[in-house]
Amino acid sequence: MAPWLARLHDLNPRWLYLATGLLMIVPFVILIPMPAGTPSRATQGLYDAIESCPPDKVVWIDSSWDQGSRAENEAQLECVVRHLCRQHIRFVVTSVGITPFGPEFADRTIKPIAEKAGYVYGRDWVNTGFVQAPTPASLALIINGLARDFHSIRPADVHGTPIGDLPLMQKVRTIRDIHVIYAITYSPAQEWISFIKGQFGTPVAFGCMSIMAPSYYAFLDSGQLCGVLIGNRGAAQYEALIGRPSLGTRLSMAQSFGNAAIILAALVGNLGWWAARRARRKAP
Amino acid sequence: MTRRVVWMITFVGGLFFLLEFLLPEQAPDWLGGIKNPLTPYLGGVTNFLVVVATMAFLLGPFILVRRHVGTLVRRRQGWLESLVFVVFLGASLLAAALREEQVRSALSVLYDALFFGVLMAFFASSMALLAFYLASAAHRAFRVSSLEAGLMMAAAAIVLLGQVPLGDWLTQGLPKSLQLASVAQWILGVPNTAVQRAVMIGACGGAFAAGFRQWLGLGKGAA
Amino acid sequence: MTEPLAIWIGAIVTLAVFSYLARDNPFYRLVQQAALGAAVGIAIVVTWQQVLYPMWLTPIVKAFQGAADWKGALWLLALVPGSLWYFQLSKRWFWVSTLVTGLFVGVAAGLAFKNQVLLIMPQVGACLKPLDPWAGPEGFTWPALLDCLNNLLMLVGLLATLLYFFFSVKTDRRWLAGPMRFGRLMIMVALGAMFGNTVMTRMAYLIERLQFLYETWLRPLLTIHGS
Repeated sequence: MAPWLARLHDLNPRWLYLATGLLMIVPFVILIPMPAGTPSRATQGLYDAIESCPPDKVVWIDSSWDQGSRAENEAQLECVVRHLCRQHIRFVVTSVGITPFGPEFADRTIKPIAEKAGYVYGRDWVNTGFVQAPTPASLALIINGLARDFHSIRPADVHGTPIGDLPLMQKVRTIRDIHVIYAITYSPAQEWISFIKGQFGTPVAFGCMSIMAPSYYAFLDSGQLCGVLIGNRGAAQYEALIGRPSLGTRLSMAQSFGNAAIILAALVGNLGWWAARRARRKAP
Repeated sequence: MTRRVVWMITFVGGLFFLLEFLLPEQAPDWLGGIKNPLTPYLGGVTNFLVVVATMAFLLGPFILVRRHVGTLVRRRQGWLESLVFVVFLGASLLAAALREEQVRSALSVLYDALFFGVLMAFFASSMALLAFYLASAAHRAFRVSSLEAGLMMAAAAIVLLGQVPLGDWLTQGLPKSLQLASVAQWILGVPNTAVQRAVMIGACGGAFAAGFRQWLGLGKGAA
Repeated sequence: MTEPLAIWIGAIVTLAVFSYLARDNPFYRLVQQAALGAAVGIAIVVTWQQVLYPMWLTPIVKAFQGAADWKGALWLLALVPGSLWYFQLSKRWFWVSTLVTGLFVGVAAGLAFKNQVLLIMPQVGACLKPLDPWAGPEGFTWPALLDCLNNLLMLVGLLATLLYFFFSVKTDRRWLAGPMRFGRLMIMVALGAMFGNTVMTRMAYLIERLQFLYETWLRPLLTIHGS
């Protein structure tokens, strides 16, 4: 057994950091084409929900992500907004949660896409801004309040315009005017499911970070969630469904290298550990 | 006396929402068909509670400013960092409050620099550090030393590769049901769902018990 | 479109944070405090502009100006419970803040009942899945058999996991050892799936930063100098 193998499990972590960083840069420098894969049931569910939106209803997007979860949430918002614009579906954006930076990030992502599609702010889409909900209880209160009377919780939009002055919001007052809710954040709260789907029956879909995805599969299985976009992979699958590969697809390709780096690190560590254990057993 | 008053406020606060949920939307005809008397007040109560909760928004900043200004004034260790905090706090207050949207000005450039240059870059990069630490942890700590550990690592590897294009590429020659993507979806959709559902159902009982204790003021640390 | 100054500052801040990998250094600490200061300042302004100003101050001002119903002036009363939060800053008067904290604890408890009932009841219902492959409209099919096997595995796995976490009675009987071991194995598979997704999220953070550094910051520079 080569003695250097036994030293593999005790490498200086800085070498690992360097190796990880270099491996992750590869997909940005060299474009490697890889198959897009079949969209999962979770992604297809959201796509079908939006495709079936009738012309007299709108989609409610709750975009409560900020710099902490931009890595995966931005692509999830982008692809759905592109789909909405393509189908000429109007939408309302809220930001109910802890972070006050949600509306700014939502605006910067949605505006270029909406303007390119010829959408007029106030008529085709509205950003109603931030409502603070630091605890699950306050989130439940606000979601319940928005569903029953949108205008009382959001009397003005993100620019300070009275909500009643906006043509779109004159037709959107309660949950009955909403076709589907799409909540995008690090970990969309389960209160969306209990207080919207459970109370009013309106379909709810989530866009979440991969780390939170396993806990939402139970809701997908029970039908309480109609769809979930999981990380950049979910966004990439959605982009494949709308025929427009974009940010999600690019990031998803790079994700392959990241995941491979972790698997390699674990393999190398286990190889070194096993070799060191063998060497210790053989030593007199 | 104070504890009693706090307990009464806690009880009434919870009672309103509990009754609003438990009472039907409308009573049957033989009971007069009266509607839920609490539902009309739900909107007003909600708005009130939202505003009151939001009024605490200066509490955290006040504590931070007090600490940092104290460090600055007394020239304690770390005063330079406190100075940077106070300067950037002032700059961001100014830029965010006074800038005009859609108008490019010195304040909007400052706001952009603070929001995207400093705030977004710092917090996103701090999260990115975790990727490096994860690689280090994978190398040092993830040992396949038993059946359970091996099962866990195998499931992790399948889920990791099955959710990225690399997994599709590696197993593209296999039947669809045996490809990594399908196996990963099966792991997430069957065993993972079963466990998550079991944990949720078990935790529900605990949530009910904890909620009752809080509401009735029976907890050890109850106000 | 992001300002070029913001891009440059973003790149410097990103590299400063990554310098922490080598070791803790003053550059990182200064950047940390700058980001905290910026975050606190912007959060204060946004919270005021988008929540308190339209929901609280505007109805009061309009009521006093006669532009809206006089009841809007009643919002002034919200200052009473709203100001109680700040008694947390005093050791002597801390007890006053427990009044408003207690209100929200009660509200949370009341809402928790509704939340749990509406969330969990459908989950319990979803446990009841078909286990008979012959019961479908087309009779026996191989996909129906696979579905039933999956449903059986889900049900058995769920019960085994509940058994594994059941501490109210003694579970050290020999006939329970098998189901508990099966529950433990199911939990390990689920933990592996959770770990896999955790890795994906962490890697996504790094990918986003590398994409910013390479595509947004470096590549335009290299293009300019290359041309």
